Amino acid sequence: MLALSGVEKRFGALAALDGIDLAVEIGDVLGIVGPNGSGKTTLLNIVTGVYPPTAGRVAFQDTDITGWAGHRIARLGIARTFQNIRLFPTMTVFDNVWAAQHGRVSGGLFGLLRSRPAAGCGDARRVDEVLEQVGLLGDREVLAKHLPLPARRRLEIARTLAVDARLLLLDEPAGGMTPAETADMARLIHEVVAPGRTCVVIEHKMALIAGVCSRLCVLDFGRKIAEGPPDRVLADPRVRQAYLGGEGEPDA
Amino acid sequence: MDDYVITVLSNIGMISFIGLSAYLLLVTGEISFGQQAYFGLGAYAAGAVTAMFLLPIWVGILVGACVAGGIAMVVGALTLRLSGLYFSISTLAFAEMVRLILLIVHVQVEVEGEMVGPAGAEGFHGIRWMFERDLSLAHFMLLIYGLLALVLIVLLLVERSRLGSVFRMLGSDDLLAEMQGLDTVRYRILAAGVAGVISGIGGALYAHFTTYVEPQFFNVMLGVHALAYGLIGGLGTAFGPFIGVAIDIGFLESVRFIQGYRMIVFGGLAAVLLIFMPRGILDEERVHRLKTLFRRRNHAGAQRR
Repeated sequence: MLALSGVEKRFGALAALDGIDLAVEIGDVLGIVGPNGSGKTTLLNIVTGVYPPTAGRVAFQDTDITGWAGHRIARLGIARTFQNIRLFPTMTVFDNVWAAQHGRVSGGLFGLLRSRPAAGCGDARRVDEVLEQVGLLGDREVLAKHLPLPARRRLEIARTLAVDARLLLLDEPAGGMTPAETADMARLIHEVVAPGRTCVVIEHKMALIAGVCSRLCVLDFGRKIAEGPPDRVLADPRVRQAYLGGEGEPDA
Repeated sequence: MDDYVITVLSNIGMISFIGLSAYLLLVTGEISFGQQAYFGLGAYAAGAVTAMFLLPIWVGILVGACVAGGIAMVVGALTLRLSGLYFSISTLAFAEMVRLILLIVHVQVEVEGEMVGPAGAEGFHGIRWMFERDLSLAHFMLLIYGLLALVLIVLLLVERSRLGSVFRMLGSDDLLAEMQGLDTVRYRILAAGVAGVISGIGGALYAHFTTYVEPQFFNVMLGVHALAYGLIGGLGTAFGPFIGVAIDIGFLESVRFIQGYRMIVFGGLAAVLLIFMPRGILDEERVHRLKTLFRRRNHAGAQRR
């Protein structure tokens, strides 16, 4: 479904990504792990068109999307969340999810002139449905900036669900969360987000990775150092060396 | 109402157009110092239509709006890839360019034995449509407020639509809007065009209200005021700029004892307000709170019934 070949990204002299080959198949829940600065977010930014790769190719469903503008890539059905949480802070929870659909409304400009639907009508039903799924329906009319952090992360996920994306890219969905909140997030991804969808999850927390991912890819200094089923990858001595700093407990 | 009151109210109405124009761009996250250019282009174009070609005023207003909107879209396409301060500077440069060009444009035609048309620095005299039809100032004020109401209603409807939400997304987080499938450059150009149209209508009315226009009126101070109206009144609703206009023209310019100090008082007020209310009196959060309050009251009312 998604295929990266020889992807390289340089910021000046620094090679953030150095010859990455990666394939995501339909139905995969691929975890990307690696120490800070290993290039995980850079990888998502390249796939979603925030910036083009310095070299290499990105293909989505057999279409070469290398260097495409972000909005065109999004319209192909790739949705993402952000490590540092991006919401429209002065919009309500409902409006944030509703806004995610604007880019896919049919009828061009005229499609966009339709008013915000009343509760329970038309497009509002789909929005309320995903809010219910992530447990935010009660906060429908709250401004996004007034939500606590775990709810903000859930709102970002609701947004990706509302557009029925073919590929979901989650950038540290449990970032900054307590162990209990992380467990809630792992349950949400495992039970609501992942079934029937193709996902790429970037995460540091083994509690989340182990519970939801069917495959792992490990980055270190912009290179892929391991790939495969989670238990095998995490047992790999090179991974333990690079990622966990030799001996030590995961998720410490 | 005496003519003085009508003139003040008409000025408030006409300046509100440029306030709304700057407001729309502020909502999309652009600070334009150049909306006065479209006000001026609308004024000159509409004046030419009625005074030089002797066509009805509604044609003049339509042409003024289209000329201003069309040029705004072209300028937008050229400049909106610039971001932040660079965009602001380019709008200022363009507006000054327009003003300087109008200072040298000298195109006149003979109408009933008189030369009519833009005469460079002397301005464009003889836009007498209103007086030739024996319309009173009060009648014209109704026209101003009729059109203003129309523009406001359209803006309020847009604000409730997906398009209005798109405009706010651009202003709030450009990258996020792009990541959600929106061609942000295209929508910015669209917003610039709509803002140009709104400003152009105001200019078209202004030309016919005062019967003459001169490039000097469309200087940067007009644009700065237009910006200040939205920033003071608030960026949460299209009603915001009216609060700014009411404070500036309705109060400061009309109360005699402040008159000499108007700019000092207005500038100080703007500065103080922006420190305590960076997005104006009616900002998004207060508008949301008012809406919630209103909805609750409606809800309670419905239940009582």
